[in-house]
Amino acid sequence: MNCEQIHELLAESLSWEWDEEVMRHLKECHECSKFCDDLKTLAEMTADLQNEEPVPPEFQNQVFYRLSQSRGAKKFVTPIILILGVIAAGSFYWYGGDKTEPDWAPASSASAEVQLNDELEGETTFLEVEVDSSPEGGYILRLPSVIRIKHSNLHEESYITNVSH
Amino acid sequence: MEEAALVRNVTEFGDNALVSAYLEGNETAFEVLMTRYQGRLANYINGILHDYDRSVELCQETFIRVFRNAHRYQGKYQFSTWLYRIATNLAIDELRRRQRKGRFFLYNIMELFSRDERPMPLPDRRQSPDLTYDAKQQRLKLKTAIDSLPEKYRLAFILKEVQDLSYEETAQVLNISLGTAKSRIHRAKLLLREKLSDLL
Repeated sequence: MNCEQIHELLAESLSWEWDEEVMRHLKECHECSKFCDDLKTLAEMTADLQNEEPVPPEFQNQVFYRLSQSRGAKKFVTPIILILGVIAAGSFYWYGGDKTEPDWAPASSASAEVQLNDELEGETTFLEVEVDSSPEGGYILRLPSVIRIKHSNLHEESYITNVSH
Repeated sequence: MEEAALVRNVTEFGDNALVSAYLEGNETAFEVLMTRYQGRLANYINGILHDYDRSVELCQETFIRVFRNAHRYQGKYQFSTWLYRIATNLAIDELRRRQRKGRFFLYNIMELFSRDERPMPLPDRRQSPDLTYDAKQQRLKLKTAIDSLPEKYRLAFILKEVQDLSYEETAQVLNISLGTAKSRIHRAKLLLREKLSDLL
């Protein structure tokens, strides 16, 4: 076993039962012995970082509060989706059904604006729109309480999976 | 009495059993899971962001996502792996957002001036008062050295060595192969050994 192999073994774990060959090498090779000691010291120092600062006492209450807020906001999801559906259907009819566009129509996009009622606006400045429903990869857009949507394929690809505040 | 017994029983559950209990409507199970992981997770995020208040917020966000999506958890990985994965993604997103917005905190500005030898130690709220001056300095040097590691090495090292996850869990959290995880942790140790040569 050469020094490089010993280093790899030591870096992987310091707690396993070393066989005689490793032990002999460590006794004979000053560099590997120093490497082993350094890693042990590093492990001890790192273990010290595990000491935790406690989270604030209101931590869990805040989580439940935020959860209840998002549950409360769910009642707005259906109306918003309905409005978006109507707009999407309209734009589909506009672009897909009726090919004669009026002169003032936008060239390649549909737009929508959703204004939430005062009750929700009074509580928060932003809405969170969860664009991707995947828990690991999903991200949340923080939007003003007025949502403006402008998308060229609104009727085909655009959907909102969750809206909360 | 019965309720107290129920709480006592729930605290003895494993993570998967707690998730199942929560899905069956037992909110106490939810609290037990939070209690079990909230400190570790907040400190893990803080180790990446160095912004304790924001780390607590992101830790809460992690739990909220977990609870909203608990029905999707299938036990393919350990619960803690799932939790750390969400927290890691949130922390990385936060870092990216800050980079995009050019929001430089004092910490980042100092890092720009001196990547390896920061001239002035930052006050550390997490240090307990009974630590000696030397111990504090040593801890600060270690944290500085860890922070100066490239992100991919730093995350792997923190998960394995500070959070005490296994190699397999670390690989799963970071969505990399086991070999890559081992290699990154190995590389991180070598870099730290160089940076901390005066302490070792």
